[in-house]
Amino acid sequence: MGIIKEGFFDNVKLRAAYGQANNVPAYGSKFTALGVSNIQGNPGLLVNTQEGSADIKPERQAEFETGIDFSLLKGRLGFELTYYNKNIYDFLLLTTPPPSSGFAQQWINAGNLSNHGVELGLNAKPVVTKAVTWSTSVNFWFNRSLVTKLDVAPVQLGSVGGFLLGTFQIEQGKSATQIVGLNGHGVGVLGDAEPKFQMSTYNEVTLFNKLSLRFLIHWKEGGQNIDVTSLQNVFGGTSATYDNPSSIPHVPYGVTQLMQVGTDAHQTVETSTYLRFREIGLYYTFNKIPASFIKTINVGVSLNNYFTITKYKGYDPEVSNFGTGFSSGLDLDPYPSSKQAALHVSLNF
Amino acid sequence: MKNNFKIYSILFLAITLLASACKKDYGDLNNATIEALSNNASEAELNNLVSGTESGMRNALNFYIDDVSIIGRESYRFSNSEPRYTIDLLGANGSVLGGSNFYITLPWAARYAVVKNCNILIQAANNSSVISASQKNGYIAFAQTIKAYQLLMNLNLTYSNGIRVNVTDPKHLGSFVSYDAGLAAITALLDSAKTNFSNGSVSFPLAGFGNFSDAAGLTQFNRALAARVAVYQKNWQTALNDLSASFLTLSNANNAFAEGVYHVFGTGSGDQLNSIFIPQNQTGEVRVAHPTYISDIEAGDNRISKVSLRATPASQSNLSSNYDVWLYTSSTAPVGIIRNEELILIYAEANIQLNNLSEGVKAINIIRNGHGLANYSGAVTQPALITEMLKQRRYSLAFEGHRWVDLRRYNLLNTLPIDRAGDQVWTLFPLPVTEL
Repeated sequence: MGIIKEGFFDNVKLRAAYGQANNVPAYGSKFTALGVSNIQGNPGLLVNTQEGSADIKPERQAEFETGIDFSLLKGRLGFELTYYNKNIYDFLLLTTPPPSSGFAQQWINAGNLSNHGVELGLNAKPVVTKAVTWSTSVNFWFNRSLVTKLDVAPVQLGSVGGFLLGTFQIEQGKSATQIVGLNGHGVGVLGDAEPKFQMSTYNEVTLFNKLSLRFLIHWKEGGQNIDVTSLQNVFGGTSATYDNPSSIPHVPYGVTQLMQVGTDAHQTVETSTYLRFREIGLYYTFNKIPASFIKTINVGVSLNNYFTITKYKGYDPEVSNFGTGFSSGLDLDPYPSSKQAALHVSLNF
Repeated sequence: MKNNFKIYSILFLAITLLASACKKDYGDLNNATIEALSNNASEAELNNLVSGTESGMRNALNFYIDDVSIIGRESYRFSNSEPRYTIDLLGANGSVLGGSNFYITLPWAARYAVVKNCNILIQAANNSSVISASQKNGYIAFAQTIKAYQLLMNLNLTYSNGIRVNVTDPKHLGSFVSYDAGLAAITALLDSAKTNFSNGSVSFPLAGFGNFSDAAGLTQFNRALAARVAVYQKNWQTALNDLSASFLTLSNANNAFAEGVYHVFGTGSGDQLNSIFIPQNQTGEVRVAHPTYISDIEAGDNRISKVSLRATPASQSNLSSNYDVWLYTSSTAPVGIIRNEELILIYAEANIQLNNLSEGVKAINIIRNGHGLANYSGAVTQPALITEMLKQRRYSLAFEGHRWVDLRRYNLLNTLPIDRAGDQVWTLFPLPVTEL
């Protein structure tokens, strides 16, 4: 077009997309069923804890996405920038009706929810020589959510101890991942599971086409977990800091932690910023093999999840005891994530 | 032209069929649903609802018994994974009872689930055309009686925080009523059930009702519960009237104390085990008697057999005890709902309160003699006999969920022992937070 010198960009792509999709309600959410509850051989029917919603309908997601991709310097440098805005209408929510109704949960079409965010990707080959090649990719992304409409009273979700230990709460005008709980003088917002941003980078450095170093680093900045694991140790009297002095004379620190349970849940809502080396690998390729039927032999070592830099007190800042979705980031004595070291040998015929 | 007509008519037919097929609604194919049961239920389905109601009454029973027994200083519950039994329930370290904690949310929800089942049963019986009018009255009377009992258990926990009585429509739950209004509503339910039983017949099977499984027996059970509520209301003469229509037997002959209605347990498919049962000499999960149970008991009282000496004492959080609670001695041991021993004690209480002191002493002596003790020898005055009556209630109904409620009725919670400096004796539970 003459504004930019021809040949500077290899490739520029502007893109936009819009789509809609449905999510059908969970099976059985339409009916109030009765379960089997027998007594001494008499067959019994006892109402289930889930209340049916006769007029439940699918939730509808509408997503708009736009972005620009371009590469320059003969493909040595590539960018991808994406903005998305996803609205969910009539989102399906498992609510907790008052227990005096006889029910503990009910699926409803609760309201509208929006997610928007940015994803930025960079691919580069900063060094390409005969002796050394280095290729790298960097990704940066964040998401923000907002409950734009909620037809019912705020709903607590996915908690171990409710307000007592901090719980997620869906509330109109608030983030869908906010954590609320007792704050010392009532109930207030204690955090948000949504990170400020996340970044990851994958790098591969190859020397003489033989020795190759690969590593993947992930950085999550901000975002809170509900960390009950540490408090569990206090309950058991086995936390490392239990006997430390506290601000109250003659009262061990662990006891002051127990005293806060019931009035203040700040201690169980913990920021889970971390920098994690997900994978580091070093590989060497032998390609001059005396035996003609083998083309190459590849040997190497790799470490997975070996190093994590974090101030988080639980076993693992990336924990989720109860799956993903509305209640990820709940830490209750999980199995710690495993560290793996592997030795690789591969033969190519 | 003819071909075209054929194609169009087939297309038209296909579209009409498709459109009409889409509208077909089959209901839930896997389970019975409220919607289906509300519409002309069969006798078998109604009987299933009766058994499900009786079965559901056992859910979360252990939490109710622990709540009342721990706050009433009858027992401790030690658990490696659950400190709230020894912290919250005893008020240690400045802690308070929380409305989101299991000790209120679980028993509360379990009782209201049974209330819901009773309401479904009432609705199903009213809408069923395959049963006779007297059968219908029988189902409704049973549902009302059980509903009243379940509401009473929740009201015992939340006391002046109250309960919801009208919970038929989940979308429009009735408001919370006070303790007195709650008791009045429970009495009204029981009275209505009594009338329905008198015009009703019982053709459904029951498991834990023994000799009280027919309309006459269920009426006696109903009046026994009414007598309990009447003494909670301090309606002493009403209590005596109710007792006379109940299964009260003023006797300590063989098993006379145990006559009554029970939660029963079994190992069958879909059945439940007794959740209160814990074997002796456990170390992780332990239910032990409060030390005062042993130190306060009179020599020769055979109710000492409700506890069992441990091989090694159990302790947690600066509490300890040498005795396991040993009232429920197997995983299928029954748990009393109401039994004759309590009725004799209600008879004693009402008579003492009405100043029929000799009748009160007579009833107390039936209890004392039945447990290996000599006749009451203390002062025959109203205050002295109330003290004695409460003591007999403590030991006769130990670990069955009474002492805390009894001492609260008589404003005597302040006489309960405090084990650790700063511990509290709670008067009531907060409402579950999900009710607010």
